[in-house]
Amino acid sequence: MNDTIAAIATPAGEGGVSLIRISGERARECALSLFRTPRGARLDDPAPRKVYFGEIADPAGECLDQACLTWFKAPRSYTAEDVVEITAHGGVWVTTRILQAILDQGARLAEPGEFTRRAFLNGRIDLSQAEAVADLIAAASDRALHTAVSHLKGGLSHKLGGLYDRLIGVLSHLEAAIDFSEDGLTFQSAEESLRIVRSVQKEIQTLVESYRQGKIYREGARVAIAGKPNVGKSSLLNALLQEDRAIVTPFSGTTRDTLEERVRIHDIHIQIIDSAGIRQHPEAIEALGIERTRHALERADLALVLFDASQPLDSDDRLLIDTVRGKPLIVLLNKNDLEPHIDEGEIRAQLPQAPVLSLSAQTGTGLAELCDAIYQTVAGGTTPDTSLWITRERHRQHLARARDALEQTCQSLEQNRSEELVAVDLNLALDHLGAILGKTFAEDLLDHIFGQFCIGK
Amino acid sequence: MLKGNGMNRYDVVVIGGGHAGCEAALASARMGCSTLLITLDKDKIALMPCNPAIGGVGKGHIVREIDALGGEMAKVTDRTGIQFRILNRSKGPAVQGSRAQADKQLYKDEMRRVLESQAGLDILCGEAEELVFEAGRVRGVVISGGRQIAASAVVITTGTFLNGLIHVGLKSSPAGRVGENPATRLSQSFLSVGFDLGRLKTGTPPRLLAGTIDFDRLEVQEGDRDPQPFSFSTERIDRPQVPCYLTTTNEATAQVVRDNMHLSPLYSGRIEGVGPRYCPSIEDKVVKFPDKLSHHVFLEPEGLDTDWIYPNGISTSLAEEVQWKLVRTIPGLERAEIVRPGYAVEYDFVPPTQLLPTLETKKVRGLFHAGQINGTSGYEEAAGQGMVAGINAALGVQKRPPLILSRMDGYIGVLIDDLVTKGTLEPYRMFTSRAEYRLILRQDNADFRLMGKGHELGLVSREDYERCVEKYRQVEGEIRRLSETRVLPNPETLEKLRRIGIEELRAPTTLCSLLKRPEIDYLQLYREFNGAEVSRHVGEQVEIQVKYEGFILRQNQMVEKQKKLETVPIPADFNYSGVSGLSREVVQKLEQIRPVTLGQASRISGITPSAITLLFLLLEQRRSGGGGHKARAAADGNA
Repeated sequence: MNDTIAAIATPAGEGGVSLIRISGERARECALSLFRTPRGARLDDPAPRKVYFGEIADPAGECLDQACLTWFKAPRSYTAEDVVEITAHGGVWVTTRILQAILDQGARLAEPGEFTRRAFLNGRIDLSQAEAVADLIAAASDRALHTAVSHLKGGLSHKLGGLYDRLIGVLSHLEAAIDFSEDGLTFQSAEESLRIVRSVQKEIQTLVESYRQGKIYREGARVAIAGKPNVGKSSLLNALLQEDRAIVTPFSGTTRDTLEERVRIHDIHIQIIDSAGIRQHPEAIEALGIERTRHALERADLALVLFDASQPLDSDDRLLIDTVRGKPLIVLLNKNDLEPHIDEGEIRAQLPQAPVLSLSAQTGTGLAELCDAIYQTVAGGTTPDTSLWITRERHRQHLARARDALEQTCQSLEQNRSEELVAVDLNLALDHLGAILGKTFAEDLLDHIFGQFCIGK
Repeated sequence: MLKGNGMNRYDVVVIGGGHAGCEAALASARMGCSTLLITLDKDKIALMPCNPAIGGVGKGHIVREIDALGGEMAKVTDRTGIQFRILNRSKGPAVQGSRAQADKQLYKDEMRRVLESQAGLDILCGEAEELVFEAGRVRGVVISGGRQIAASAVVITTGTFLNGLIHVGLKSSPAGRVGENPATRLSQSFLSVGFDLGRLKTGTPPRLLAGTIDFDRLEVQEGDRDPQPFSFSTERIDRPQVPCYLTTTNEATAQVVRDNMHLSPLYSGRIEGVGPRYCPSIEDKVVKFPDKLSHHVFLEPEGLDTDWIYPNGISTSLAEEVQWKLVRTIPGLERAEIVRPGYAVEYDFVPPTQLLPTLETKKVRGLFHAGQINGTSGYEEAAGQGMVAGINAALGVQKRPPLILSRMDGYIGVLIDDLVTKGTLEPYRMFTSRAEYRLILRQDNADFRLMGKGHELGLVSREDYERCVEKYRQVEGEIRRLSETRVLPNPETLEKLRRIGIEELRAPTTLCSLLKRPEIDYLQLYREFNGAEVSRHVGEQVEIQVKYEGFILRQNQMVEKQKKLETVPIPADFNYSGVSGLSREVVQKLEQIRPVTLGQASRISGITPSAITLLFLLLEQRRSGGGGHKARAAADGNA
């Protein structure tokens, strides 16, 4: 049986309004004992989902604040239990007094995430929705918020549920062919099964790939700045940090003695890594810092590779080109305010995939274009309203394993292996999808078989 | 000793002489317990009231497991089978199932002979009318006439006899099987204990007279040329083998069904019990799958010396005159005569979630249930449970630890775990898809999996067991030899490989790796790269184990985390309602089932993965003695 929990649901601080949520068997009783109508009467019989205006008094009868009260009757509430929400005026002191009064009535202070956990345990939302709520609370940007909201509506569940059902369909043919081979039934051909499994595998692969994107929206992108000494790395960093606030804003709370700086481009956080390396003195012992550059590149979603446009390419530049080759990167030809001497053609030939931008970190020309390019590269061309991103490492791992298991499934189908062997890997894939959806399939499968085939010879 | 009329006290009493009762009584007596089998009619012992066949995919696995544990069903089938076939022969060994048409008369005669010659086992003809209880324990039974027989354990295997009700058309009559009275008084005795009861339904087709069937026009279905026995101890099958025949229903058959739906007890609402989806009546087939115009009908002889034919596929409870019309629409059956009409039977079952994995009831110590009373269907499923119930009844009397078969041990383990954990809504039949360890639960290695247990229990002779140990010692040795024998890509090897269908070998490899290739079988490999002499059975095991290895590894990968949960015991007095974070529904289910391990808990329907995680943390904490957490205190019942 669940006890009754309560907490302030809005962020701490002086806000316009604050919301106190109570959930559990005694939620209604706790809240009503403190609530008075504008005429000072007790509200004994509230209708569910209706907003009542009145005031909250402490048990001694002292009015604490004017407030609105809404009662959600189980199971039609956030947690599927009886829930009361009280909206009061903000203010730490007042809100805390109200909460304290509720706790005095026998409720317990909720642990972090406990409302969502109850919603999940009560079957109100599934695992991926529960995780999306956690994401929503911690969403770092608008786009992440959008993704979180889309998961919450069941976008991911819906998508995966569809893939899951298609695989169950294939599995039910395999299983029926094993257990009811004598019943005179016709089963899907291996080719047909293969076609379906391949197409599901492809969609899962797309989701796996979306993880990088999703992670960027949730946690921000990591961008490394690479280049030989004196090429203008520090100027570029400073320029990015000081660029027009409308486009780039320094992220508060970072300190200059860390190795990383954070800026924001539109709705994406950008972490610029290895800034200490960038800030080192030109006379440092290790001229290029290849090792450190490599290390930074390993952790980066994108590298900004700087060349001095006023100088011809030298051996350090060529070493750098070899180091960054194959990584996602943008080539920057800095110092375009000086007379150009660089062989741009050679760079383009050596790094054919990379966009090349010309700019001056010193004067600021080309910076806006750079911001756009960074944004385009890390945010990609996908529009937020049609796509789903995987935002959790746990989801990515399960999906990657499901994809691999489906690869094995396809191999077995191509080799014309017996059904029970094909089923091993198909089961494995379903198990991984089920782990995200929070379900097991044993029962689904038999229902599916009996619904589809006339079993019984 | 006089049979069945002398003693008034036994260690174990078994009520019911069907397939569950036979195995239960034999196991108990063989383990040294004085045992009494009570049956209504000695002539109906080990009767097959439905199809005259033993085994099949999944079911055949169970029969082999019964044999490995020291049971009787496989041996009796081998001695009385009249057509043996291995189903799914084109598929892998894990899903091949042995099936035999049995001569019904011979089968029950032979089983009765075994029972009657079993030392320590008495058979009594009569009706068990009442169970005697005292302080939560069963103390004995009262049989018709008022005689009381004391017992330390009672195994109930009453099949469809609890409140049995037979339907033919709109006529219904109380009966356990056609022509036999139901066990009404015993049903009442059950209710007095407070068991929940459920209601199920099953059915059987009309039987036809062989002489009135035009077999010449029908497709013949022969058995295997080289019939393979069920029992690990049977050398070969030497009874004459007979064919079955195949025909099909057609649109005219469906029309007869449709025209007479008003005479169907199934569709007029007279039958309340839930029937099996995998074994639908012809009425169900026509209604639920209207697009399928034709259904298979297998004509199976009921024996060598009988002219009764069992038409497998047209189970029905339509009125008798409709059954005549229906049968005669089928090719080959135009002049067929019905010797006994088909019927449906409704019966009470005791939902098996009220049982422990030993098949002992939770409510009454010493009381065991096995077979259809637990909601299963099938002779094999019944016999498997009878075996486990009989063994545990005896172990309980002898104060030895119980036998609990896990889902990894065998299909019997899967069956019982499903029953006691999930219960069942329809008559439960085994399918291989129910077994997550399917690739290791094979017919061919049932001896490896269970014979040790059978021997330990005293049900398998030392000789049989040692033969099994020796066989698997040889298998292991041969696999080691194969993986240690290197093959180099030289002309001599390439020539040998070409002879067995391999065109290229680029790098050195081992014989074991070669055998993993789908196109190579062990015999070919053995011929070309010969080694030590091994028997056919050893060679078969080597081949299966090597070829399946990669798949088995991946299968186990999936069940690995589950395996961990199986090893976490839940104390019998665990206080679920004290766990904060479990919903009321979850608590209710856990309290009802009282799972023995966390693994079992995770299979209860409606128990979420997060509830399991929560319980796992609590149990771990409890085990390690880590203190201070309020949830733990709650679970200990202190909060």
